[in-house]
Amino acid sequence: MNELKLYPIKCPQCGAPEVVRRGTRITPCERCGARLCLTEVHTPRYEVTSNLSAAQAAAMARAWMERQGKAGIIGRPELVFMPFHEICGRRVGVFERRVPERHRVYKERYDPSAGGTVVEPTYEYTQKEDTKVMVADVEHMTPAARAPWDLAMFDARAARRIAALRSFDLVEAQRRATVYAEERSPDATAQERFAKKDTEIVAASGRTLFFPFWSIPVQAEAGSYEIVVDGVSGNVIAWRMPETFRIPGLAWAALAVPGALALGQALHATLLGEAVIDPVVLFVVGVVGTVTALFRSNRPDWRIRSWPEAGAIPRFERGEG
Amino acid sequence: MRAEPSGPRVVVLRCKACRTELPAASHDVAFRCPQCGRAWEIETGGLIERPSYFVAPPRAVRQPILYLPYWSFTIEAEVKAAFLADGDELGARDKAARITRAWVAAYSIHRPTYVGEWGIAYTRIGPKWEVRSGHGPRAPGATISGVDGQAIVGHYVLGEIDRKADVGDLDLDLEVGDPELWAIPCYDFGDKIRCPWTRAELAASCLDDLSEIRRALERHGA
Repeated sequence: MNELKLYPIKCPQCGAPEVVRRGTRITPCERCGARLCLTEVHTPRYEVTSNLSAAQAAAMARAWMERQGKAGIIGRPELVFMPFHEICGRRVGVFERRVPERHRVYKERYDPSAGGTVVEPTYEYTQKEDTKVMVADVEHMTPAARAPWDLAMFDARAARRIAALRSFDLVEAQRRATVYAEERSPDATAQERFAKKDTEIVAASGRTLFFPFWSIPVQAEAGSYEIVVDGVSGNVIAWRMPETFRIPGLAWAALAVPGALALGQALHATLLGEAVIDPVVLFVVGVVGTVTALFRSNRPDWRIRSWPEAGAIPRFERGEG
Repeated sequence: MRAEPSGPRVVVLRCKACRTELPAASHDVAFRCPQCGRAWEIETGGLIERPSYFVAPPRAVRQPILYLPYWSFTIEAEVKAAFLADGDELGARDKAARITRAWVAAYSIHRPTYVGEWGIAYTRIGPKWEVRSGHGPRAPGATISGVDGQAIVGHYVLGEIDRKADVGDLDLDLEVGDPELWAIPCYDFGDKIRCPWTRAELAASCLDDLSEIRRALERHGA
């Protein structure tokens, strides 16, 4: 899908052969100058231009590390282009809905102090069945490929508003960056996102936008990790790095001592019958203490932690409410 | 890099009647011939002709005029037996009978239902325009196809009737006619455009192709 496809066409006016690039819709004939229009067009592809150089991205990452109190050697930033599908159109349809309604009613109540009935206003809540005619705008931006990092903190729509677009040239882009391939077509994205029983999308237009990211490797004592900087705004949108545990493995190993003592005491009480503490309790405490100590002390004192963490940012899923 | 064995169908953008080159921006699907005023829409089979009209500008023009494309449709809406209160039923019938023509903007607007789509306003008020056909003003092409316009405009009419009575309770017979390409003038203030009849305004930034439209019109004017 990521190949640069060229289409041979023939000018219907003068018969001159032409070659057009994927996504082209209107092109002039080089021989007779007639304007030619292709009736079947693939999704146009654009590159979101980045004004952030590699040095600026590295400086952003360095400043971020200083703020976080991290130390490491910053490597050479790598430019990565990630495809997003931008789908615009209008959703039209007629669907049923229930509208909550509040009615004011007056009820009679016997009031002993007044010696008779009084009328008091109150409210009744009902649901009215209604038909809603919908004509709404659709503007959807979604990643078209699986990124090695979580893109939850990347606001593609905001980046789209502040950046300029230019026609995407795959060959030229691959010379200076790693380009991720689209894993599905914009039509498939639109179908998955907007296929609903009561509504349909009309006047839809889809585009593939390639957003730039700077992937910056950082070498630290515990290992190498990565900081990802948004190529449009310069914000750090994701990182993967080692994190040291507060309690070192040696401290957990010390837990094995009371665990072993508890196990020995349980064995002693079982064999000789001189139990001060219930042997079952001692056995359970001993097993838990020893197993925990062996498990926790045999791991490294750090782990790779990534941000944004999975599930840390609530996401709206279709079908939920 | 490889060439596909079978290419897409290619259409020469020339008016079939007078052979004038049609002004087409990158996303246009229908055009008004600047010479003879005929309208052509691109379909898979090639160019097909659509009825073409333009609206005469207001008599006292004080600002530069910019013509914008709209799809227009004849509407036949009839409310039959209904199970509503009399007032609602009469209101819906009255509303349905009043709408005889509907419009939808055929140029690209960013979030049209949010910033205001003038086609809805024209459908609602049904302006008394002086409509002409034939050679007339230069107008940019339409970015929405006639079929899409038909689907949208049907819902505009349903929405208008729904304002009077719930369309779910109505036995409604709605027929939307074939698309006609209209060119309707507006005042061009540079940073915004204004409708001469409703005085509604749209920021230039809401119109995706406005700069391309202006460039194309200036090129033709020169």
